Amino acid sequence: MTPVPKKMVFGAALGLIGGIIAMCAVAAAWDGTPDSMPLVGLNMLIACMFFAVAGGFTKFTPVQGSTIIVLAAVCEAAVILSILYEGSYFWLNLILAVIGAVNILFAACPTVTSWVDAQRI
Amino acid sequence: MNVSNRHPGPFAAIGLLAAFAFAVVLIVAINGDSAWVYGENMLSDLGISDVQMSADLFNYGCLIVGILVFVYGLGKAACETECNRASGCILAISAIFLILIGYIHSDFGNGNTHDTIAILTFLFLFIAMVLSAIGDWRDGARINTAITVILILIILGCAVGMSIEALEVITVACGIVWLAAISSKMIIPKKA
Repeated sequence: MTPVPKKMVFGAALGLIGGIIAMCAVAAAWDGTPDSMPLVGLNMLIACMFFAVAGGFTKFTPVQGSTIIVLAAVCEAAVILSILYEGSYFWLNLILAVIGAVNILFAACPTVTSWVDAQRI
Repeated sequence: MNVSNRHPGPFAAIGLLAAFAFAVVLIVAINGDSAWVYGENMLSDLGISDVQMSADLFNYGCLIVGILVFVYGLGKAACETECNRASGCILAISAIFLILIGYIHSDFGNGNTHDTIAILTFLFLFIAMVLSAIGDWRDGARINTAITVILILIILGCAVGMSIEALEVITVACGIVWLAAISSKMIIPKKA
């Protein structure tokens, strides 16, 4: 088995970082009232998607190579929705959007998709 | 995928021009009318604005950009295959409705004609986006697929929780970005 490509390692790391930042946003979105639940849920969705993307970039990924970009796209869409709905601080969402965009680029690399299709466990 | 000898370059240029022009037209028209408020006014309110410049910009802008998008849609249908060809046809139909938006303002009659045309414009645009995503996926254009999927999800997400006025603006913005993205992809065709 060939070693995991560096792009996948970076993609997984960025996914984890994005997920952790999104979990911080979850905490920041909760203001003690049930009215804040939609924003809490939105940030939690972002965190879940980032962790899913991070998992997609590992050798134990449960999805095909071409599916990782779909996960990354859904993740990025959730971040942009959070920006539009003001789910968290704008600068924080901007950081997440950049991380999401980089993950999309990594997921689109033929190196990643071919390795995942051929070598995943 | 382009399987013919038709070169999509000119059509791609028209698509890029249409996206850029419509963005400029809307930005200038909105800035020209200080009474227009995001989230409270529809874009169609620009067509009947008290500021004549904004009204003319919006109406004539819809007419001219609609013609450009119509030509681009037909070009996409001619140069692409399968789902992308269908997307081009549906986009051309959406463009016809866009032309009618510029021609029939929301003051015409009781406003229902204009509203019907506007809804049909966005409906056909959305269908064209979905078909384009499927076609790009099958052609292996992953980045384009990702961009289109993101825009579709943004539209659906905003439809759930935002007012129709805000949704309209966001849908138009997503449509402009999508048009620019698929035009950029068409500039460099892939041979079969």
